[in-house]
Amino acid sequence: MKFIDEYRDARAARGLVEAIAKTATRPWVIMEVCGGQTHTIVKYGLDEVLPRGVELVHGPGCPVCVTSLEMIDRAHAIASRPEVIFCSFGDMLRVPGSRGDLLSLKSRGADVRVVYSPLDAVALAGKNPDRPVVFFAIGFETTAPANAMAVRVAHARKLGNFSVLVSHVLVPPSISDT
Amino acid sequence: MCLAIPGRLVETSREDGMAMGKVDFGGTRKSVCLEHVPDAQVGDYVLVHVGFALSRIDEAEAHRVFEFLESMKALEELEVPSA
Repeated sequence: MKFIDEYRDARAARGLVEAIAKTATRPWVIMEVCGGQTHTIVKYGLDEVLPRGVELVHGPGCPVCVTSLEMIDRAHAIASRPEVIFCSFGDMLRVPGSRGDLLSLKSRGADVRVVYSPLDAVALAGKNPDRPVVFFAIGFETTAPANAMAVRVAHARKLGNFSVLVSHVLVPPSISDT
Repeated sequence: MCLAIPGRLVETSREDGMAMGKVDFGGTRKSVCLEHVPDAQVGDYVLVHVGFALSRIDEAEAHRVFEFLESMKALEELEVPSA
């Protein structure tokens, strides 16, 4: 498999650790936001090899990781309705709820579609005026304006069949609780 | 969806009263909202997150990020068929 050897090059890793030690001239506390990063750091022991002055703090997890079971279940219930076109970022499809994930629901015939942008979901609503289109609006602060813009555009285009299931997360409360 | 990806602005337009444009990500072109980067001109590099350009970036920086993402195969999410 590609990258395995490159990422297990002990000499390169030692060189990088030394470079970090030289750069970190005072104590640093760094928070990784995403749960995938936390997993990788712990799995490969990166926290063990970093210089003592560099402390890693595990953050809130990405919006995909931290979406509640209840919210996934709501999404599942809405997407199960035969008249609904349910749209989501691709990452959300594999997150399990208590009745399974959205990808399995899609394989059983539900109309679940992956979109790259919230505006793609608005375009879908425009093309399917006779069906309710529901967008799963998840994200941190960075994604909120994009999701809000989708609502604004749908409103401007008078698309009464577009709605959003909102599940936004803020970063600062997660940091202050740590 | 967690990643913001740099691309080159190749076309600008207005749709539904919104500043929009086409951005080229190493061969893949996507429609992108430009409302957050009112100064962006065709030829500029912009950082795009979920279909929205968030900021303009330096071309050399864009190339560095792009090469890294390519090596990580992180650009595949752009291949989602457009709605």
